[in-house]
Parts: sequence; C-alpha cells; structure tokens
Amino acid sequence: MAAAAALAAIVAGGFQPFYFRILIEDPSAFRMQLTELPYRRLPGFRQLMIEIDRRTPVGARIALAMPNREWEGGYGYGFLRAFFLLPGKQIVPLLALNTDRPAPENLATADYLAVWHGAPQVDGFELVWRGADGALLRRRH
Amino acid sequence: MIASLVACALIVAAGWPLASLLDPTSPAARRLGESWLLGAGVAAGLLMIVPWSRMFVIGALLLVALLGAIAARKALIARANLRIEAAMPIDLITLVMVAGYARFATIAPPAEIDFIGIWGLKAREFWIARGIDWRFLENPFNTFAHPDYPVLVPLLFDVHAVIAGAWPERWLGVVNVGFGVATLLILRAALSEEIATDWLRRTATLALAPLALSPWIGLAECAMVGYGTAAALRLRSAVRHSSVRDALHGAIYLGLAANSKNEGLTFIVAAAVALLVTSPRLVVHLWPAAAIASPWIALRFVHHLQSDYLSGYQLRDFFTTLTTLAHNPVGKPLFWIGAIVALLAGARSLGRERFLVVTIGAQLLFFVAAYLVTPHDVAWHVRWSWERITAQITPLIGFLALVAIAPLRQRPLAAAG
Repeated sequence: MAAAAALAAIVAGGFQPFYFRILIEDPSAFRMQLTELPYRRLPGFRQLMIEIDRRTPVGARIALAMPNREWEGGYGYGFLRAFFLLPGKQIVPLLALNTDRPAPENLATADYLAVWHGAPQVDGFELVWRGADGALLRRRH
Repeated sequence: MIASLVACALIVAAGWPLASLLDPTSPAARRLGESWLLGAGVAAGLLMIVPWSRMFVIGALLLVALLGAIAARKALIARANLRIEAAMPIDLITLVMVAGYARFATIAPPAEIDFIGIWGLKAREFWIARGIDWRFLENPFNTFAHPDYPVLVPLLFDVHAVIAGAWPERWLGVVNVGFGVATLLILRAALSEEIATDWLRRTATLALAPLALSPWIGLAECAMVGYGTAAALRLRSAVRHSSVRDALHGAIYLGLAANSKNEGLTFIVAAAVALLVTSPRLVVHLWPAAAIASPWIALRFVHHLQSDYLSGYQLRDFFTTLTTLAHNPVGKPLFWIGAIVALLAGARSLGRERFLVVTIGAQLLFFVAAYLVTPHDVAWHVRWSWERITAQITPLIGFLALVAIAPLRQRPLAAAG
C-alpha cells in the first residue's frame, strides 16, 4: 500500500503538464516572450546592442554608459548582457566591477562608447549612430 | 534546424562504435544513449585539435565513426543486442512529454541568464575567435563569466555552429534534448534490468522523464545530469558484478562530467568514496576519470583561470547554512514525499544499493560544503543554484526510490553486491 502510494506520488509529483500544453499552444507569442525575457528590465537594450554590433568591428573595445549608477541597480545587468549581444568585442565597464564606484578612467581604454538611453557629448568621441534607445560614439583620431 | 539534426546524427555516429566497443552486450536503448554521451565528448574534444571549418569537423567526426566501427566491428556485428521494446500506451505518454520538451528547448534562443553570461557567451566568443579564446577568458573584466568552468558544453554548442556555418540561436536547445533523451534511455535500460513487472517499468520511466529532461535550457546542467547518471549506473553495475570493464566505462563518464561542470570533479571523489566503501579494489580503475578531467585542470593553471571560491572564501556556520537551504525547498513537494516514502518502505532493499546511496550522500555533502565556504552572499547563492544542482542527482534519487519499492527481477545472491 505504501509502495503504491509512493509510486503515485513520484509520478504525479514529477509530472510536467507544461510539456503537453506547449505542443498545442501557438509558439510565436511564447517565442517572442522568451527572446525578450533576459532583457526585460532594460526595454530596447537588446535591439540597441544588435544595432551597435552591426556598426562595430570584431575586437572593438566598447565602453557601456547607462543611466543606472549602481551595479546591482541595473548597470551590472546590462554589462553582463552586452557581452552576449556584442560577441568578439570587449565591453569596458564605467563602474568598478561589482561596485557602485564610477570608473571613468576606463573610458581611456575604449574605442567606442555605447550609450543606452541618451546621446551625450563626450570629449574625444564623435557620434556615429543614434537610435530610439541610445547611441554609439567613436573615438576621434 | 537541418544542420543541428545533422550535427546530432554525426555525434551519435561517432559515439555508437565507442559505446559498442565499451559494452558489446548493451541493449539498444542504453547504447543509443551512451552513443550520444560519448559522441558529444568526442565532438567537443575534436574542436580543441581540428580547424573550425565545417569540412574538417564533419570529416573528423566521420573518421572517428569509421575508425571506431573498424575497431568495434566484432561488437557491431556478432554480439549486438539491439532488440527494441514495443511501445505501450504508458510509453506513448512519455514520448509525448519528450516531444513537448524538445519543442520547449528549441522554441526560442535559450533565455537562461547563465547561458547568456556563461555557457552561451563562451560558445559565442569561441565561435567568433574560431577556437578557445584565452584572451577573453584571461581578461579581468570577464570574471563574471566564470572562466575556470570547463568548456565541454560551450564547445558542443560550437560543434553545432561550425556545422551550421552560423550561430544557431534557438537550435542550440537540441543539445539539451540530446542529453535529456540519452539520460532517459540509460535510465530505462537500468529499470528494465531491475524491475520485473512490465507496466511498472514503463511507469517508472514516465516518472523519471521530467527528472532526466533538464529544464535549464542552454546550461551545462543537462550534460552533468547525463554523464553523472550514466557514470553512477555503470559503476553500480561494476560493484554488483565485480566488473573492471564497467568501472572503466563509468570512469569515462565521470571524466566527461568533470569536463562539463565543476560539480563533476566532486562527483569523481564521491564515486571514489562509494567504491572504497563497497568495492575498494575497483577504485584504481577510475583512472580514466582523472585522465579525462586533468587536461582542463592543467589549462586552468597555465592560464591562471581561478575559481571564485579562491578569491575570498569564508567559513560559515553549519546550522545557519542548513537553515538557509531548508528555506529554499527544491522541486515539487509531492515528488519528494513519494521518494522519501518509497525509500523508507524499501529501506531493507537499500543494502544492495550502498554504492548509489553513498555516492549521492557524498555529493550532497559537497554541495553543502560549497555553500559553507561560498564567497557570495549565501542566501543569494542558495536561491539561484540549490534547486539546479540538486537536480543533477535527482534522477538517481528517483531511480533509487523506484527500485526500492518495485518487485525486482530474480538474480543470483552472489551478484547482489
């Protein structure tokens, strides 16, 4: 009796109805939702990075500027995701890693400046492209 | 999609002769599962030595398949045991579940943050660099990507990218499907050897399916589940039959597990401890695990890729850590209630399962020890990893629970380990 109850609990407890539901659901809405899911806290960030990826060469060092001034308050979130969206490029943080301390000195090592939500004028950099969610600046030579 | 299916077929083709060579008497289900596991290891390893072009990678995989087939020709022809069980209605439910999982895994690019920040990121960087990008791994700005983590899974993603000729985006989920199906086939073969009642064997497979199919798409968890489960079941067989061949075979999976995740390294130790308790003379036959795991460890030292545990660990209070774990229950309560009741009801039969019990227990202790010394906030670390890492051994716990309560096949007492 205990064995039968245990078997029933193991089967029912592990059962995943989601794997059955997904076979009959329209995939397009779920696909769109999943694609945006990792970037949901920064609307437009994914598309901005895709645009910047098109306009920068492999090996480029790209500093990332965001209005978020705290690492755990959004900057780290964007910094980590920018790497994946800009493959083959080095992302340069403008905060000291894992802290809220500004690190503007890192900008000196960057060839480009990617700005989410803004298009500031920065000494030594020129605007290359501007979109709805941000801008790309390049170091003047 | 076609390129990913071709990649999967090539991986199985490369692994099949090896699986046949390692166990010529293996039934079809287990052999197919082990073919994926071995082929995946071979394919990832090949990317460390052959140029990253479609022609070279496909050619190398076919060459491995051909050479393997020549080496294993006797096993392939003479002693094959490839009878496939007829599917029953319960199996059809399992099959539909697997189909649903495959759809979930490939419906969109993997969305897990550890895919974007670790496993997929490394694969993508390596893909751009057409090789392991040591400069990326060594860059201090990139420590968040855990450069010390082993690279079997990122390289496996790259096998798919090289064969497709482009970054495959959503189709990388087939790697999850491959490991999930392989794990399930291996579990099914083990259940078939243990459980006498047909419907119960099939129901047990259905019960284990969600545990074999890792829900963390794009992470190395799926590989750890596959290699860990295969290793433990092979070594269990080695203990039962005093089989050096099974011990060597299991040790290969242990080594591949260690090349998938750092928990694989502790799993080697856990299995070695369990062998010391149950069958000490077999411990020495774990040498393939050390041989397969050691190259990445050496490369880590050469390139100074440190674990974050070495960057500032602190020893925590044991009971505080346990309390934190207790506040973060894993999985579904009903499953665990069933598993615990089954283990209690079949406690007397667990004597013959000492190897699995000790292996699982030792690995759990390693998990807890990691939280005791984690450099991160323990509540944060537990919250984001405890469920995921325990899922690596949950298929083995489920298997143990099911064989504890099932009417077993008769076997000679001498073989009961």
